[in-house]
Amino acid sequence: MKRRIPPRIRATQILLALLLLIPPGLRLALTHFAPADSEALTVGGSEALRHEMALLRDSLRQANTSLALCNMVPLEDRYHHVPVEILPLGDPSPSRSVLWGLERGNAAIPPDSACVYPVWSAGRVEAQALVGRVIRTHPSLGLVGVQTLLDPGFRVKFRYRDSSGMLCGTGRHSGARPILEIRHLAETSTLEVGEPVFTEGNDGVYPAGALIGYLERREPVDFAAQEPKRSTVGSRRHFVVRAALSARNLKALGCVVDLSVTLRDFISDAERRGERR
Amino acid sequence: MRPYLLVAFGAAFLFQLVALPLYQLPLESLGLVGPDFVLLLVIYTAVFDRPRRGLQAAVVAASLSEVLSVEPWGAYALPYLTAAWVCSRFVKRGWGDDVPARFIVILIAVASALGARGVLLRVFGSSDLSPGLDAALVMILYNGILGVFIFSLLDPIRGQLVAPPRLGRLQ
Repeated sequence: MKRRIPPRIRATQILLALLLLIPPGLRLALTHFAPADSEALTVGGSEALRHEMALLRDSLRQANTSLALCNMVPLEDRYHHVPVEILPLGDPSPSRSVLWGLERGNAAIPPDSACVYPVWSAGRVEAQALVGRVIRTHPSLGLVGVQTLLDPGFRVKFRYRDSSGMLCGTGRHSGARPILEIRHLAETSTLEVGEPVFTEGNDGVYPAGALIGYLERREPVDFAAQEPKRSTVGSRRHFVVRAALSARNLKALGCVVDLSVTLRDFISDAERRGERR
Repeated sequence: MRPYLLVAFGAAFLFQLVALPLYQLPLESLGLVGPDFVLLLVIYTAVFDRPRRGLQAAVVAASLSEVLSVEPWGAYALPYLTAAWVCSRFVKRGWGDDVPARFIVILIAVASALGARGVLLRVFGSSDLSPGLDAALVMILYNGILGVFIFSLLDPIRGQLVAPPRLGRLQ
């Protein structure tokens, strides 16, 4: 015989379900109607911003996000962009920040490829901001796992003026944009708030010249500063890098594929096939 | 595993993969603090079902999580098994019946899972991936509060989710 749930319990169930579903529903609605990354586009006041956003929307509507990403000028000759659509999927771990993307063409995206997104200014791409790094691929499904700058495991070599160092993801963010910690930077370098920081390149992963973020003064209350003293005393301890972009509301991004690596893999595959024959 | 429990685990994975960012706390200085719906369901099974079933649920959930996640191998298996073992070993029958007891049980289980994960990541040299003490405490409390809600939601269908305890164990 089918057991009937008493009305009082059913009402409680509905109330509990609503309590569980309303907060994310509200947040989803708010983020859906909010602009993708308003601060990344702030160049020259609110009117200019509105104009740029209209331009951006139009260009995206007309040519599709994928096409816009395809048309980006490569950072160096040996790289090319592969557009990837962002899927509403993440990592099951609550302390990791990973996006899953879908590549609709048949382009091979090798692991460790950098992922960038255009930062627009006056209707043209001003810079290519780093969004993350490909850490997992499923070529048969076209799926690409992208570790974002917010992830605590994210590492990138950066260049600031004449010196270079390492930036590490912290899991923390400021105004929805990830905060990265500076490590291994020469003590002699003088840091200034608001200065841009770019990828160094030459590390076999990232192309040189992709915008990572801007230098910012570390907040006075910072738990990371009390962590084990990995770094020596120096100016870098008072600074962090605030990423240029938040990957949260992105609909697409471009994977920067190193053609030399793809070509090398292709040749080695062909050689292997030839040996088998 | 019972079919209803499999459906519940499916829903938990769906929440974890799709809706997790919506449940993450917007605490800028703490970092990524969010719930683990799959772990909460493993705890539920371990508390209300027989110990063997709790461990089974932990193994199945951990295996699927390992496949879907970018975490190092074992970063789910050890915490989930630890939580299930702690619940089935130390939590006595009746502890899951009232709200304060449930809250304490979830706190202990989530803390043990996070501790096991932290140890594992330290052993493999990936200690940067484990949250700091402050973030871990907030995460434990958040999961505790959310767990009480989820346990109450599942209560009316508990008979379909888990097997009733054997009478011999109660005596």
